[in-house]
Amino acid sequence: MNTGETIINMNYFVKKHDLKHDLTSHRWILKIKKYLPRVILYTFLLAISFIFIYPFLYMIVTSLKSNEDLNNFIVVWIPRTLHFNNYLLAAKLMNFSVTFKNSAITTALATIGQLISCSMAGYGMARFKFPGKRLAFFIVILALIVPAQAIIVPQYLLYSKLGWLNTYFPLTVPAFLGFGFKGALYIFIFRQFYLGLPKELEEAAGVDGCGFLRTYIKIVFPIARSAYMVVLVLALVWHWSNYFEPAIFVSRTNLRMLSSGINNIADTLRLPPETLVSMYNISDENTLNTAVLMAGTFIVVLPILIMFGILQKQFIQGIERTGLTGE
Amino acid sequence: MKRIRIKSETKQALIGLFFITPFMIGTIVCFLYPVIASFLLSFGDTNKEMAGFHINITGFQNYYRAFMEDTSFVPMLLNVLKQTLTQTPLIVIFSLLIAIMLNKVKKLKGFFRVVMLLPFLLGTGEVLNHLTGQGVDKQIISISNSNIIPREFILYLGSDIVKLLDTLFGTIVLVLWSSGVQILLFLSGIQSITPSLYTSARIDGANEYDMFWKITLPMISPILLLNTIYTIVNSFTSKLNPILDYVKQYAFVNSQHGYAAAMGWIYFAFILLIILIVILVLGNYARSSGVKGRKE
Repeated sequence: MNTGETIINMNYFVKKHDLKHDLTSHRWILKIKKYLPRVILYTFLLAISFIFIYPFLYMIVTSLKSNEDLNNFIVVWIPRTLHFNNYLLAAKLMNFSVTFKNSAITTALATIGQLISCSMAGYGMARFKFPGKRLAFFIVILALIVPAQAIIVPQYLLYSKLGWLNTYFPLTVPAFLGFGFKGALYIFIFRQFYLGLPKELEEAAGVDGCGFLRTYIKIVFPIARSAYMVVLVLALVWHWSNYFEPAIFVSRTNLRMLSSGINNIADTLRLPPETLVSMYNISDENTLNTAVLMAGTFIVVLPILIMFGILQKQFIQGIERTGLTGE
Repeated sequence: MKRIRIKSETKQALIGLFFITPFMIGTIVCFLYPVIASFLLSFGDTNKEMAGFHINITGFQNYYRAFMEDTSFVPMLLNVLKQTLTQTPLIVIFSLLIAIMLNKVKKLKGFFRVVMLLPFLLGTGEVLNHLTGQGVDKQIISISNSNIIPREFILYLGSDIVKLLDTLFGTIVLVLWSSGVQILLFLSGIQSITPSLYTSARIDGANEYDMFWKITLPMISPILLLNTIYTIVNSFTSKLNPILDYVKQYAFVNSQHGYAAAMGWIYFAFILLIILIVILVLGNYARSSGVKGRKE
């Protein structure tokens, strides 16, 4: 009724001043006024989404191009012929079968280690009163903001004294002790989560005679699933793409990580073509080019993409439930 | 009764200590030892004649060298600090704006949230490094190679302005790529604000602009702090941060351990200064605006 009235009123107004306008054109204006902000919002968000998707599109498209397509400025999005060969070449140069296994083992071990140790530390700090509790939290914050650059040298000397260089111990053992790559951040996330979690369930279990360890495994662990999901995804992504510590602690070729394989491709790209032909038995027709480099980067990203495809729902819900954002 | 209470308190403390035992061992071995050793090392150097780890203390020599003798360290440090100081606020502001927009959207919300997390999966390591090496970040919104803007207009602007605009857009793209997690954190923060606050504000005659400054921003100020620190910490280990490679070069190729440690600590000192200022400013804001009325 209300809208009808305004339209009639407007119609009267129009008739008085400009007889050529009719009722329908005003309906249009009202409609535009109502929908225009929404259209602008969606257009803007879609445009921004393009920026977010672009690197992946670029990687996939470029990795399938031939050398001629790369040099041809007319070919932007659709390669004239699809060169899946680039992937075989990239995998060969990256020593895929070995480096993938290395990356998978260290990433999995370090992630499991941090899930166990960081959740325990976060739980202990959030739930129990003990001497030095504030100090412990202070150390977490300090560990969060001290950059790896500052403490890498004594770590290296320590690991070399222990004979741990060229093993995976420097990358995995600290993870089981609540440190490792960004371990302090995970402790912080778990602590925030447990602070926001009601205590009643655990107290009830305690009254029923359930020991603290059993309470932790049987009751706390299932409730804390969303926090574990958040840390799981963050840790997998970061360990997978971590390059600083592996490059320092692990130097032997057959122990290298997958992501360092991209550098192998980049180094090979810089070699003169004659050496390429003799070294890698590559015919002149498809000499190494940036397409192979992009194929390499996509090989590195692909496992993470698949993992995220599986876990994205739990991860996004997890961030909303971890209480990171509330006090 | 009294005896039992004391006993249960000790028990609580023991259980608490049990849970943080791995962390305590880690603190000593993986954190305190390297921090102290590295700090001492920055005032000296390792003794090369003696096997193992012996520090010869030489005073402020390494620090003097970093500031006075090394011609490339100070410009690089200033450059990294400039990057941190420009990119961190940009990332926080952009992610907040996008989160506010996402909160208004009903359809495609799930799609947008996933898409905005995608660049996060690239990590901050070799993949991102090689993508930016190809200039992927600069070609998305590029003035100079674009077909949208007429050539005459580009010529009219002149190459300097076009170059400036290109770097500006390149920066914005990099900023957007590194704000995925922050967008998600802001979004969940905004969603946790009680809708009744907005309703009563609207009854009192507040418009969208007022409500943003008076309700949304104060309510999410703790996340503002969290996101800022997260962004700064994230930039430490980025491959695009040249200090990492520079320290690595000195420590493990030139094997000047003391000097490498000193550079690490100088970097930390500046970062700490920035973080303390952020905590002081944002912490005060969060406290003065009094966060209440959160939906649980």
